[in-house]
Amino acid sequence: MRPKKRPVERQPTPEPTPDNIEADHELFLQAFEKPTQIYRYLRSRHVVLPVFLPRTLHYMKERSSVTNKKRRTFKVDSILASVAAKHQKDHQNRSKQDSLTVKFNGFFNHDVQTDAEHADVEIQILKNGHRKRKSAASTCASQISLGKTRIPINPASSSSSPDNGPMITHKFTHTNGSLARSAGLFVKVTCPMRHNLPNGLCNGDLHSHDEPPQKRRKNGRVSFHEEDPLLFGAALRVYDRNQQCLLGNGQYQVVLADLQPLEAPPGRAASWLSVQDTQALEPFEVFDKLPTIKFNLRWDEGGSNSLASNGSSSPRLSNHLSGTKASKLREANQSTPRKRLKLQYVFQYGNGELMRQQTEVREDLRCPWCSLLCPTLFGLLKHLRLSHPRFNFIYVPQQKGGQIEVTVNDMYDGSYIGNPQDVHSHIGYAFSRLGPVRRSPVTHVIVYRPKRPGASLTEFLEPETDGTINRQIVQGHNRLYYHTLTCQPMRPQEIDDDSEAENSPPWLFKKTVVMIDEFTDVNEGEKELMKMWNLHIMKQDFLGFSYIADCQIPKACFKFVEEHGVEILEKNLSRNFLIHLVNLFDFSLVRPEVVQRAFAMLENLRDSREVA
Amino acid sequence: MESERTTRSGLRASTSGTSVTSGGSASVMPASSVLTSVASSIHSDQGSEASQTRLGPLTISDWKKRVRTEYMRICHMRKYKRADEVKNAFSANRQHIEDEVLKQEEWLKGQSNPKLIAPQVLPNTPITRKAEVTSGANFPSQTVALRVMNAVKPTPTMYCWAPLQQNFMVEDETVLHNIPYMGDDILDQDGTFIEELLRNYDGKVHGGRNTNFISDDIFLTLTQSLTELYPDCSSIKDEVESGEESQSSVLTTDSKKTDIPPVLFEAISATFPEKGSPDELRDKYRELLENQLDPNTLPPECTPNIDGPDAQSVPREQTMHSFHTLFCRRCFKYDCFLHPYHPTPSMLTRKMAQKKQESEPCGLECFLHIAGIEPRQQEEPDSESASNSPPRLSRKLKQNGSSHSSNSSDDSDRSNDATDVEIAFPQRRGPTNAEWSGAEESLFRAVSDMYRNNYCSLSKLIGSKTCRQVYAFAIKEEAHIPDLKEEQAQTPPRKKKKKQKLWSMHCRKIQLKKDGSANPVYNYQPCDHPGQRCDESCPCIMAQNFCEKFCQCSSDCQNRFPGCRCKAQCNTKQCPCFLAVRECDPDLCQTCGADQFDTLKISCKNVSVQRGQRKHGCESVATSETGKRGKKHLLLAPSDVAGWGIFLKTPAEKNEFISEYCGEIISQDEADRRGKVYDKYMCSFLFNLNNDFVVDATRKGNKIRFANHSINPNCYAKVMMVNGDHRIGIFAKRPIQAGEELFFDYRYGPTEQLRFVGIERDEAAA
Repeated sequence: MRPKKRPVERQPTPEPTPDNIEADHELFLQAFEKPTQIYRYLRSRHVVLPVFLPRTLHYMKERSSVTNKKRRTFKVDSILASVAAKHQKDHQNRSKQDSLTVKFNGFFNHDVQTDAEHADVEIQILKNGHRKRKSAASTCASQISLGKTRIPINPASSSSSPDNGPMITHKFTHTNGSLARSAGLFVKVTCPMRHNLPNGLCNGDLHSHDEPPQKRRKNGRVSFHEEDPLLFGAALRVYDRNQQCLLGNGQYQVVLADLQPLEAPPGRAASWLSVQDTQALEPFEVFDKLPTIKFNLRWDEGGSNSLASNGSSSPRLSNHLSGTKASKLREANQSTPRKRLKLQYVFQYGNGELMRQQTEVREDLRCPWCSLLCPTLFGLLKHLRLSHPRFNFIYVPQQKGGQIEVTVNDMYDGSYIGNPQDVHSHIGYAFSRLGPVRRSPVTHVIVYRPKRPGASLTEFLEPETDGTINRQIVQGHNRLYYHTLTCQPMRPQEIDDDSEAENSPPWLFKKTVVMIDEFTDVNEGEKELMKMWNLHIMKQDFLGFSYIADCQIPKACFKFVEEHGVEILEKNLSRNFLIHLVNLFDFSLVRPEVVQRAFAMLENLRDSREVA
Repeated sequence: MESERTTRSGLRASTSGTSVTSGGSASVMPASSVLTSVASSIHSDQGSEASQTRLGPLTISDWKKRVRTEYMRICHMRKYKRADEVKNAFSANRQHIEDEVLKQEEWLKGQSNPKLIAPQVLPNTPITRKAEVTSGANFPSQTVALRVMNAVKPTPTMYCWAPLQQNFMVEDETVLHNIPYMGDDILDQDGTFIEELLRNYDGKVHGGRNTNFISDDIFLTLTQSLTELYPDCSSIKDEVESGEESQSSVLTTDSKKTDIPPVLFEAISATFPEKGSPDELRDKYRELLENQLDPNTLPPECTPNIDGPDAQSVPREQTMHSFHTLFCRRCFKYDCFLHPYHPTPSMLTRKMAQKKQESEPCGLECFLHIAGIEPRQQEEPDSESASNSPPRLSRKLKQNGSSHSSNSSDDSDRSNDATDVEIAFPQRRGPTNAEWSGAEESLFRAVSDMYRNNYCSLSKLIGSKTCRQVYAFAIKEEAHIPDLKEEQAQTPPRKKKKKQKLWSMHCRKIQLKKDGSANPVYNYQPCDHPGQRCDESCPCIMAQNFCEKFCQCSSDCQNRFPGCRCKAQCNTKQCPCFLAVRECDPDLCQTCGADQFDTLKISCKNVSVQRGQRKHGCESVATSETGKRGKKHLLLAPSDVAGWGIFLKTPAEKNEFISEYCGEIISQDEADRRGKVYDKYMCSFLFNLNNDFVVDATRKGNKIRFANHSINPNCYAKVMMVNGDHRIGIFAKRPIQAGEELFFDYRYGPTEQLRFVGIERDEAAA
């Protein structure tokens, strides 16, 4: 009932009854599900473990935020000049320093039981250098200690005045902005422990002495061994990535988190540690229950002269610090509103005469399979063709946007084109104690710079040609070969032996002997000579050819005497040999002279044997 | 041939008694299942029989029973013996394979890196699981890491096949050799398939032979064992002997062993009535016994070895018979694998340059010293002029050759002519026996046809007789030699045409042929119609084939393909050979270098299939040259598409020859029968060769059989006429890189190509 409804090819699903839709969807899945799954998988693998960056591709140049224009004009000698210029600028900027003054009020911790009145406070600056090239290694975090001071533990809140507390100042310089863009303050409080805690005060926690220390700490309790001072810490972000100041002037009360000095490696310490038992606490209870530190923070502008003074000044605003070229560029990239374009993907599938299609409209230039955002339509199409060869893509331009017809590529060649040594470990090793070893030859293309035609969408209007499909960048024997007869893997040193180099396989020699032996009315002399002659003819001559032409037969006769003459004499077959020669004459393959000559050769041989 | 010898088809006899083909006899015995039960109760039967014999004289029916049980016993013994033979052959085969493998390993040891074991890669694989052993007792629990190893992909299935580099013709199978097994499910689904298959073979299955069959061998053993087993028959013999005096006297005179009571033969005859009457059986028995006593005796139709002591004086036909019938003029072999039909040589088309008598006597014993020789020589008009000097002789030969035909062998023979005089036989020592032995007589008859009156040469070839003796014998024999001249007179004298005329003829013929564009292509058989020109009744013309050099017609037959006279590479339609989808014939085409066997001298590129195999020994000499001309080195690996695939080792240019598709040549009927099974397996190596034959690479073949089908292939197949045989060449369709898998389009068969040749010719003409 169904097929009659759609004899026309291009009609996209008329009268979608539920049954129709379901069947249609089934067919759609059949055609596109598998390759799509493969590409989805490849995409996620590429996210985790990228093989290359898309922006390095010539048709994705726009993705790259760095232009290579300078490279053309770059000279090695210019490095010094540029550094010197930079240094100069640096020096000028030095005057524009901001100094930060932190004045501590005290360390508040109601749970802690300690004799000490003072805790040590250390302030560190964490500088995260965000380089433009994103790679794991280049996020360099540096820690600089600003200084240490002692602050009172649990001072009476009234008595502490902001002015006479201990304080730390630091100068921030922004000249090396490209290197350390975001910075954070890390406050570390070391609180010495009181010795020999009485049991009652321990909330019964001490009886579990065999508990591992980590576990105890996880409880959020503060019962440590005597040797361990308590360690608390908190991080505050000063500048974010865009160098906006997040930390204004004012008084701060910061909740301190429990630090585990043994566990945390120095690199990790930079990360924000979450508060352990937060879920039990109300937002503002935190400040009561957990250890806190209070301090005043003030920014001073003006460099060295205002460093000591604690006069009033306005906090640094973010726009003072922002304004490098890179961030501007990024902003521009993100915010430029793209022209609304409609890209229609037409998925065509079905078999033979009954083609079906489904349409999907997208408004961006993301690849539907790997969601790679392509900067241009050309880039997108190029990407589709090159990265998703399991499909055929044909571009049909329309007023706004365009239409991309997608069909499954039946001619897709999914063969492995890599190095066979990566797949088969026993294909040969480069190094052996016994000497050099042959390996399978593989050619890798390292650099390939073909002449590229200009970027034009016209190339996508037609299906790919044979030449482009069949290109093979990695040449050679990128697979493991097997012996034809034994199905055993072929070692690289065996590759030159062709099992078909010989014209006749060994069994054929035996077969001809057996076949002649089977005759009952051929006498033994005839049989012997026939066998000898057949084997002679089947063996190819020294030039590598077997006997194929009449004109070779005289030569074959002479060679026969040369090679088998002794055998003929020993087996006493000389008359049979003569009759054989006459037979060749009867078949007009040789002339009488050849008969005479060949037989003379045999007679001479006999003569020389008798003499000897 | 009017000799009483067996024909070609009858020449071959079976070697083993089990594979006998004849014997369509009516079944006397019950079904085989009953037979086995009979066989199992042999011994009890024998006991009862023995007790019976003592009671009284035995009737014929008792004897019949005995014969039957004994027959069953013998059959079983033979069966076991056969099974043992098969086992032994199998183990010998295995031993051979193991030896080969050992040899291979030895070779590898010499190759400095024998190891195949992969380097330790396990530490890299992540440990995902642990196995833990806990015990209820106080032992600590033990754990060990489990490493998950990657699955190794198995190689595709390969069925056994035998390597082959040339086609191999096999006969049709009249019985189904085995019932193909392709999994239980398929047979369950389609039970009719086997029935259909059986119907194709008229229900005949190999091994399901009529068990009632009795061969000579079995008959002999049966009779002998019966006499030994039942010594009581001698008593009966006495009675019979008295009754039939005449017969027993014959028996006793022969020998002690032939003392077989006639009752035994009667019983056998009754059990196996198709073997004849008791008297016939006895005669046969005696004959067989004699043969057995003297295993060296040859069958009567066999000529004794001419080098042996028993050599007899026989006519020429008989001496040459085996050689004539078995020699294949196309393969240059005796009893070749490819051509079941060999025409016997025609005496008319032989190279006629019989050696002329020299004027100088060959020695003291030369027949020229006999008075009255001169008039004999006058009889032949040519010999007078030719006998004057050797240089003139060779010139004469040259003329003869060139006017003769386009036989290329002239070339090589000419060089032989130049050194003709130097043929030196060793000096004969000692006196010769005047008496002619049988071998010498036969030899003379065989050789004399070649040399006629040149008794000097004849005596040299015969060796043991002087020239004078040969002459004397020849006079005696003269009456028996058929007069060749008369025969020649009967055939119409050939008109000597100029080459140019022949050529235009040929071109016109090609023009004519193009009419039928979808001509079926028939297999070539050399024509043999003595005394008649190749006309409408000639098989070659009927099959629309050219006459080849193997035909018995004269060498200037109009239907012969004249070969090409290209000076280039013969790879365009300018070359008549290429146009006719033929390879250049080394005996016909001489300007293109097809007759050159030094690879460096060939310019012709239309000889790749016949030259086939790669050069082996001297690869270092001219690798590039041979690499281009010969077959490509192919490598086997699992295909990227399905199953196994075949890969190219070195790159190939467009239209370059890759390999020949070799296999068994079977008839179209046989292909239909085999194809049914192959279709079921979904795996077929059948390849249409022409209208009569199909190439089947299933059982025998070469590596190219592993090439897969593709609709976008990189190779194409082409059936070409190569020196009289149709052969399938596989060529590169486009440039192919090293390591690429080879494909060709199965659907566009090579026969289609030949069939459309007419169209191609059209285009070429236009």
